[in-house]
Amino acid sequence: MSPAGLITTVEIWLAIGAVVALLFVTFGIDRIEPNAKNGYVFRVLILPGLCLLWPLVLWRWRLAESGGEDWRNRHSPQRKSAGLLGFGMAAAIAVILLIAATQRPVPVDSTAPAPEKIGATAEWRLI
Amino acid sequence: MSVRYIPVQWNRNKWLYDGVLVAAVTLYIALFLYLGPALAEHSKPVDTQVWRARAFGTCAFLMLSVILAIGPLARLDSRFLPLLYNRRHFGVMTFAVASAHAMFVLDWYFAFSRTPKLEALLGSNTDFSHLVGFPFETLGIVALLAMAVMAFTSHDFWLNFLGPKLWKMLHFAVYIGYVTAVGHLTLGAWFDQGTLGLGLLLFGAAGAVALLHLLAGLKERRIAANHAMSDDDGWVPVCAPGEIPDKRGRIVVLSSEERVAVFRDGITIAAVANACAHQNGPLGEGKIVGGCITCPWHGFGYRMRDGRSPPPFTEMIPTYRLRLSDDMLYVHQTANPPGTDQEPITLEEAPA
Repeated sequence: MSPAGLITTVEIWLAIGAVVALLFVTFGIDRIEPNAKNGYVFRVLILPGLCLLWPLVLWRWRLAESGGEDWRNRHSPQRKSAGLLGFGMAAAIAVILLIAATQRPVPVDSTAPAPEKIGATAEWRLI
Repeated sequence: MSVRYIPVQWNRNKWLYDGVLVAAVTLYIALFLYLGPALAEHSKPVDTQVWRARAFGTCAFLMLSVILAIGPLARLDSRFLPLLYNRRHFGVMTFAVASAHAMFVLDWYFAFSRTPKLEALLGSNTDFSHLVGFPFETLGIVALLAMAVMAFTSHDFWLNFLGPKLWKMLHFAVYIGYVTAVGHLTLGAWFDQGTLGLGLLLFGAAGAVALLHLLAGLKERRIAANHAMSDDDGWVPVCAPGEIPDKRGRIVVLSSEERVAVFRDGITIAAVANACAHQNGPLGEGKIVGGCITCPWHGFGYRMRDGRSPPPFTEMIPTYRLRLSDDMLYVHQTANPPGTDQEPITLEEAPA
């Protein structure tokens, strides 16, 4: 996809999100969220998230209206996923730092021997 | 705790936390802009706009590193728990600083582009096949997007609307954001400049984050492996009542890996789910304050016998049945629905 196409796709996504967001903060939120009653300023703060995550918002809105959520979902933390992601992140960082330590190109020192004498083939060489 | 949503539930601790943060960010950027040009060894002077981009970029990276270090630090040592208290404001501020970095970059490097700046950025380099010359800006955009998702969903409304489990899953984006930020810094500034300061920032901060997550993950695994087995009727041994310090809890890991917090308040003992209804914080590591089990993360409180927050608050957590036999406490592995009134165990006298 071209950059212009990508940006247009994002704009369309956010435009749909804006419609969903406006419907939700003016109509939906008062039906499903008792804590939103008489609270209006905070709705401005949640608008960007509603625009960005509108499919998730529609799904949760529908679930809240139907009352079909299992209460156990709210009290069982994702410990395994968190642990695995933590290990995964540590491994990914280790790989990137290895690349950082071994693959960084450095400019050839102008006072050093000419590149062909040290076997380098370009203005940059790897350390 | 929530009764009616307002933009920010300020209190003294939050003012203090945010005040320190703003002061630290301001000081870092001011020092960077003042000392950077003086200490740099560039053959040609670098424009102020570039220094600004560097200042905000490195500041955002440092902030994101600290945010990611707070979680494992708090799991490894409870003295770091206060840092966890207002981490969401920390995250929002980091997103703001990172956005400023992106703006400075766009407004400088693509100032005279014929195409729109963002389109020019995305289209200027699309060769992903080499490490040297890699379009590292793309990694920065992914990191910024991950931070945006977290900043935009930081209000308590999102926690309640999505539920702590889904909210947490969404906020796992921070891991993707951080890895891409490390890649962005490595393939961009580090490959280009390779200064001592950048090296310290990259290897020191990212290395520390990786190490802390590794240590905290190993500790969690040890706890999970140490789960208690139930008898045929579903009762799981806890400990003798006297082994639970007064106004404190004991965490029991069930074979399902669910965790139960058993609390003692004088002669009264009750069991509730270990996960706080707010952000699933570890209630068993908290204490009883004013008769309520209080979460060590954000201070949400629950009554012992029914797991309900005192009025006017509305949060609820599951409760568990307890049994005392031969000076041994047993908890039943099946949770009661949140807010279920459950008769606590009452001892004849407080344990010595």
